[in-house]
Amino acid sequence: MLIKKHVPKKLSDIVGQYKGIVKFSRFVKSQKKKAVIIYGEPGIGKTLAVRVFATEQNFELLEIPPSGTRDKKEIISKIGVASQQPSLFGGNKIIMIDELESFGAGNRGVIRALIEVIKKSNYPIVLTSNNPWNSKFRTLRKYCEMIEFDKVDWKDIEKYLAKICQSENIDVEPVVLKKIAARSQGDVRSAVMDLDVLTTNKVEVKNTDFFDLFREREENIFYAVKMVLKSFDGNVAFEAFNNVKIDSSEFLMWIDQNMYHEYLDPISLKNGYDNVALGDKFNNRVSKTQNWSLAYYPNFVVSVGVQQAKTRVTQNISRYMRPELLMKIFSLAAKRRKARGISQQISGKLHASGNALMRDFYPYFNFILEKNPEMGKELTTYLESE
Amino acid sequence: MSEVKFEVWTEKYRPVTLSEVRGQDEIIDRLKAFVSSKSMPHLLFAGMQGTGKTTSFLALAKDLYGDEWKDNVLELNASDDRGINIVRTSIKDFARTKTVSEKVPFKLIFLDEADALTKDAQHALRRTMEDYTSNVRFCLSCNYSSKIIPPIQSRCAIFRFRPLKREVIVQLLKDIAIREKLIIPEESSTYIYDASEGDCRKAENILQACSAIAENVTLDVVREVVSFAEPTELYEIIKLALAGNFKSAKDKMSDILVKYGLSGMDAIRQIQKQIWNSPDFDDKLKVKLIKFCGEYEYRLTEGANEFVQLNAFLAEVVLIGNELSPTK
Repeated sequence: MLIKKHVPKKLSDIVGQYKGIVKFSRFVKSQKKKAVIIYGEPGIGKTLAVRVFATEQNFELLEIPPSGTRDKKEIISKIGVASQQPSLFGGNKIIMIDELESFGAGNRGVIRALIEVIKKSNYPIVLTSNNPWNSKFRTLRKYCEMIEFDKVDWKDIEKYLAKICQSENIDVEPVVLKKIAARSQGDVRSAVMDLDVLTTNKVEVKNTDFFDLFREREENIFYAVKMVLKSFDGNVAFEAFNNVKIDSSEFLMWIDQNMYHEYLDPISLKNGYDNVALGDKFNNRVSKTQNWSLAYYPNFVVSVGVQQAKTRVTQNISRYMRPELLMKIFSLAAKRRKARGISQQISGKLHASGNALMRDFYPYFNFILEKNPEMGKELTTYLESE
Repeated sequence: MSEVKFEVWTEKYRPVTLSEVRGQDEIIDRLKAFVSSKSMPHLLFAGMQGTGKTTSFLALAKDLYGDEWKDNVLELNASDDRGINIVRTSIKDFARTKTVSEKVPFKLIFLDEADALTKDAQHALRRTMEDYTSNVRFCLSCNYSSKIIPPIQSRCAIFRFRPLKREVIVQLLKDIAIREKLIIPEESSTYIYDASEGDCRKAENILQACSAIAENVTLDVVREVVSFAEPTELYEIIKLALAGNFKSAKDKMSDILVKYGLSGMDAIRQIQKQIWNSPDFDDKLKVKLIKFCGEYEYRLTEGANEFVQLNAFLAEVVLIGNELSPTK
């Protein structure tokens, strides 16, 4: 398997997490707090960074895997003991609890007990998490340093995939790598797994293979889109939607891509979009509150809601398209991340907040960089100087 | 300091003393009085960006402490420095040490964008202000003083910074142009003023960007810079949508967002501004459109996918256009 075979051995091999890794090693060295929560989307290298750090810096790593339903009390007492006793080989030690959410699931006592362990621990305790902002972890957060790992830029993922292909001697059409990278939405792990599926027993991969792989799922999505846009029976649309394993946040982009071909009269289009936008809002609520029982509603409005918004069905035969938004959302986010990063770095020097500079300074600075590189270079030197 | 060939002009031409600060005469007079008496209350600077709040503060500090100003001043930013706790710790660390200056019996803390703090955080800040009142003066800066809780307001002398007048910015641009050996016709500086909306930092940045491509800053040069940095064509999208051309409007919208790295919120605010300033729409239509901007700016805060929310807005505009001149 590619993912196992190409696990980074050195910190410098980990894609796109340079900043987070620096912060983490600073945490381990300074030990101002005894614990740290490393958080971010799945598959971006949180656990990996800790593992590689431990090997590279000669730390013994005690890893508590995602625990689910196992007996938490027992695990906690195990961590408690480990956090007191010296490391096996007399060296240093890191304790890592993977997936705080699953560890903290169930009764509140678990988190309280964990805090007690952290207070007494002689070694750094690392917690990884997708969403540490749940109120359940409020007290816990006070005892932890917070380090965010960013989603990985799709261009970095693309490069990484290309590197793997090269070392495996597989000839993959570049556009395929681009598509895999964009599909992954910053999740390196899923990107590598997609590549794995695509390249198994092959020495050459073409653009058409990409579609073959994802076609079945896509055909189902196309069907669901069609049922939403063309039919009037709510049951049919809802069933078609539920048959595809697709998140409503993704499905609404499919609707966004294709609705205007079908909802030709302005009232239907407007009402359709009302439901799409509402689905987006409901979705946001689900992810903010992490209350998954609410997930029914966005699913419902993006399928049946949109379906019922139309006044009539157009007779034309439509060829549905894949959403172009995915890539756009990604490029926009990457662009803004870069702008914010630079603006924040120079905020002290220019006596203004990162937000203000992002708006008032960055675009013009960019103009200079592009149109007069020499001047741009001099300005950069000035901005980087103490 | 070694001679650097290029600097950022907002720093290079930032006034050093209070006397050099332009366009805020009454405020400057009162600040000067603080300097000569070496005593002052806490200050609250309110006003839009680029009107001279930070500059006035820095000039005040330099006038008060001379060369030692850096040791006596703590600059913080409430919106960047995450959370009140960080703000509080650094304030405490700074306030605990004794005043370095022999001439002035207090130190200064500048808290930029104080209105970014939540109500609770502001109450905490109020307590901190009281704790160190003997040896520290606070200067809070914000866009709107109404976003600062009354107990803090009542402890501060409030200064309202007005947007800089056209003459002030035009003169400033001329002065910089002379120092930088640029030629700038009146129409160009007026255009820069309009684009900057009275924001001095932005005006200077625009001029500096112009200088990167030409010594003669013609109107065309300014236009090139401004349209590179800002989406000047957003109202075109509205026109497309009003004409019923939803697909083009939607495609153009997403392209512009990506090109300029614009957030949905930035986009809708720009649209609202451009609709209001455009001669192409009558006032009744402007009201209708801007109402929807209000609705969708709020929806953008509730939603997650800004593209989709903006497309929903465009669908709304298409419907308005259709009601104006129904196709069938």
